[in-house]
Formats: sequence, structure tokens, C-alpha cells
Amino acid sequence: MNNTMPQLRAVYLQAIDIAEPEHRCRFVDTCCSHDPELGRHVKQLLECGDEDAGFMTVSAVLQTALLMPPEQSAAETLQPGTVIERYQLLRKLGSGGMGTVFLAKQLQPVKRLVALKVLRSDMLTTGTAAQIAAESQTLADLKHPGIVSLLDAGCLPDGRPWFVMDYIAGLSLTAYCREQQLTPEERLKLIVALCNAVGHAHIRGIIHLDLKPSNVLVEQVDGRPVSRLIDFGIRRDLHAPCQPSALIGGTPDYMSPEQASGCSDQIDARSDVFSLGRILAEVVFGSPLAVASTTHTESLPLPGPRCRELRCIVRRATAEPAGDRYASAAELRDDLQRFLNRQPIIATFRSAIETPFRCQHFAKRTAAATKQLVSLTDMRKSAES
Amino acid sequence: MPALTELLHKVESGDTLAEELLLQLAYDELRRIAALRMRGEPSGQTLQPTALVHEAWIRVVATRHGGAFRDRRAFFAAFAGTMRRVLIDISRRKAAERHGGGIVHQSLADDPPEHAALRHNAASDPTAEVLLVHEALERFEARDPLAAELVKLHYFSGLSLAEVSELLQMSRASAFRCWRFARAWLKLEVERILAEHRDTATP
Repeated sequence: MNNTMPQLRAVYLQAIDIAEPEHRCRFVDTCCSHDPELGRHVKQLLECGDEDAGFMTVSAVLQTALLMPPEQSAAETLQPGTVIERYQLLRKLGSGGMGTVFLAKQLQPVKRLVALKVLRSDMLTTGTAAQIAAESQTLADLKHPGIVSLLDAGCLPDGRPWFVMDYIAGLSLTAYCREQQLTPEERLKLIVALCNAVGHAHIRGIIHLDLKPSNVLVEQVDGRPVSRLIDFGIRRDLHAPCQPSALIGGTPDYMSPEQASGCSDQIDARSDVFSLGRILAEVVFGSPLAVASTTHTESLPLPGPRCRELRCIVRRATAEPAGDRYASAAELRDDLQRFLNRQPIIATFRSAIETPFRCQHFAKRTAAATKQLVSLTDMRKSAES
Repeated sequence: MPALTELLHKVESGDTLAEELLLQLAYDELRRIAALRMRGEPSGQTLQPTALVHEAWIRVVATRHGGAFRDRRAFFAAFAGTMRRVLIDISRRKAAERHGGGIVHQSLADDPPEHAALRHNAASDPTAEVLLVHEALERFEARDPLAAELVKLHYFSGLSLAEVSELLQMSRASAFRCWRFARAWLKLEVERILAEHRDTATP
């Protein structure tokens, strides 16, 4: 094999473009008339390459990875006491559709209690700790009293992502309302606060897409209830289209129709509005589907007309076509605020045409702002391209 | 081994040999891919470009100019080299386990495990291809360094051809054609190696 490589390569690469074997042969002979050995070599290569089937089709790293002993699947179930970077798991707080949340202790640089969530193994990411951290940066930049802070992120050796958040020792929204026996007005104020938090994120281009009462914790601060939204946008299906956790063994009661049907290109801030509407229904009327299904009736310590107004708000927030809903969480909040202030709400107007001009104008302005919102999935997609 | 993030810090501050980092990267990448394969990701072609290595590149070199590597290409070449060593090491051990664990061997120089594997006609042995390509590549490297680099990045590290073409500053078409040539050459060479062993095998 003393042929110079460049010549060999050159002839070979020209030859493979010739489909007809006889022509190919003749081409090689002509090219290599001065060097028959070169010609023989090229022909050998051509012959070799033709019966390709399975040689070097799978990378060595892939092949070898299969030979590695499987990671102990103790990794599957993390135990209290396990240390993940600088966090030590203390006890399990709960597990949901997306993963398991632990109470953990941050060991350095300061010691404090945190909530550490590890996503399920079938939500493995082919990204890395730094990738998750980078994508989580926008989440981390969310600073709002109503939103739990994202403190840290990473991924386990087996690829499962984990996130560290403030630990909130509180009750879920519905549990809190029930236990504290809040009046309808007090409940509505909590929803208003929730809308503020969600709206804050929307302005920064983040849509939650998994709003439900268990994602809203309420704690007492200075004797007043403060709602804190947790689990913001922590879905890590980097390759699959957005799969809300509700589809994974949860209830779809809070999911917008466009999410449920998987039309990811129709998902925007108004999908969150839908979920807020369902939460509103549950907190005020007892069930997320209270207003949607006519069979469900709940008596409230509210006069009939007031009840009717609230129902209108819920109906508007949970309208099937997103275009019929409030255009943003802020709009929903505004109507709730009007309700609380005993001002006319816009939800009673059946369509945009009926809505008085100033309400329409406001609605249009916020709808335009909505279009600029980018969902977390879109951000990921553009980062990958 | 210390956590990857710690290692990256150390390399950034000049405390650690880049080699240790590369080794950690290689093992982490292997484990990550193994975990993904276990869960039934589509097999066959290379998974997406080694994300871990990109991360390391960004953190160590692009932002801090770790000094150990001139540029991205050099970094990936170094990583590919380490990965190759790791893969060969693992494959040799596996081959040895399969073909004579426990029995007294001649010295490694006389009878490397891959040759033992070949003698036992382990054509379906998953370690065989990797080891044979490695040996063939050693003969290829001196003759066509660029194509060899491509093979190391694509076949050993698992980068996609698109990625490799960018690194090597070739068009994708050129990279693909280069790969075709290298593959054919290596295949021919592997067949020669196998023939050599059949000839020299003790009857």
C-alpha cells in the first residue's frame, strides 16, 4: 500500500459518483493507467464500500456504552441522605406527575433548607447541567414575591435533571382556603395575587403551562396569606413536544384545550389564563369544572347576581377558543379587581363587539403584548437550532 | 472522581491537568449515553453531538481561555483522543473477559485480547469492530491525518458529521465524502488484519 493517499482518495471519490459498474471500472483503469497498483487498490475500496452493511454505522462510543454495567438503579429511587452536589436530601415532600420533591439541606456556601425536585427518569434530557442552568437562567431571573425562586439546577449522572427552589412550608391553595375557611372575597384576593405572579412571568416571556392548586402554596407572612407559585416551567422534554405533566398520570382538569390536544403552536399565555380560570372556579365554587358543567351547582355566601358575575369571569377565562378568553393574566386580574370593587366587569359582554370601547382598547393592547411572548419550549427550540 | 463542575473550576483556575477533565468528560458522556440507551432512545446513528463536551468547551476555553487548548477543534480532538483510549480500554477488558478470563495468558504484546477475540471467530462480538477499527486507524493516521481526525471525531466521539464538518471547516458534502472514503479504507484494512490473524493463528 505505497500509493499516495491523495491520489487514492481523489480517484475513489470520483469513481463512486459513477453509477454504472462497467463505466466505473473503465474510469479507474484510465485514471490509473500509469499505476496499475493504484487502480487495484481503488477497485478493492469500491468493492469494499459497496457491501457496506453495518460496518461503522454505530459510533464506538454508543457501542461501548452498552457494554458498561448498568448504573445501579438505586439511582431510580433517591434516598434521604444522598448528596447531590451541595445539597443533602432530608426527606421526600411529595411526588407528582413530573418527579419527586425532596426537602433538602444546602451544605455550602450557606446552610439552609431548600426544596429539591428531581424529574422522572423518562424525562431525561440529552442536555447537560450547564444547558439546564443556562435555560433556567430566565426562570432564575424571575423575582416576584408570588413566585418561588429558582436557586440552582443541574442533572444527575444518569441524565435526570434536578432543580432547587425556596422551600415553602405552606399548604396548597385549595387546602389553605378550606382550612382557614376563607370568605369568597379573601379567596379572590389570593387569585388576584396569583394572577399578578403569572402576569409577571408572562411579561418576561415565560408561560407556566402547569398551573394547578398544588402548584400554588400559601404561607402566612405577618399574619397575612401569601401565595407562592412553584414549579415554574420545569418541564424538560427537550425533544418531545411540550408534554404537560397532567398527561402523565395526572388530572387534565386544569389544562387548556390546546395543550390537551397537543397543538403546541397554539399554546401561549392564554393557556395559562385557562388554567387560572379553572383554579378560580375551584377556589370559589368548589370544583375546577364547576362552571363548565351545568349539573354542578354550588351555593356560595354571595348574592345571586354576584355569583352570576363570577361565573361570567370563569367562563371568559376558560373559553374553548383562546381568542374568547382574557388575553392575559393581567386582564383576568383586572376583571377580578373590578368585581371586588363592585365595578362593571368586562366578562359580561359576550363578544368583543359588545364590549365598550375603552375595554376593547385595553384588551387589544394586551393581546398585542401577548403575541410577543415566547414560551419556554420555543426558547429551547431556538437554542437548539 | 470529583464532580465535573468542580473539575471545570479547577481547570479554569489552572489547578488541574486538562487530561483529568477530559477523562471525566469521557466517562460522564459514556454513562449518559448508556442511561439514554437503556431507556430506549432510537438506536443506530450517533445521538446528538456530545452536549457535555460542548459545555466543557464553552466553560473552559471559550470564556476563560484555559490555555490548554488553542481552539475548539483542538479541544474536541483532545477529547476524541481521550475517549478513544477509554473505549479501547473498556473493549479490551470486555474482550479479555469473554475469551479467556482466568486462564494464563502470554504477555500482552504477544497476544492482545482483540486478537484472541478474532481467533475465536467472534464476528458478532461487539468489542471486535471497535478494536479492529482502532488498529486499522493507527495505520491510517499517518497517511491521511485529516480523514483520520474526522473518523476520530465522528466514530469515536460520536459527533455528527454535520458537527464534524463545522469543526474541521469543511462543507458537509466534503465531510460526508471523506467519511465514505475513510470507512472504505478502514474496512479494507480491517479485512487485511483479520486475514493476517487467520494466517498467523496457531492451528
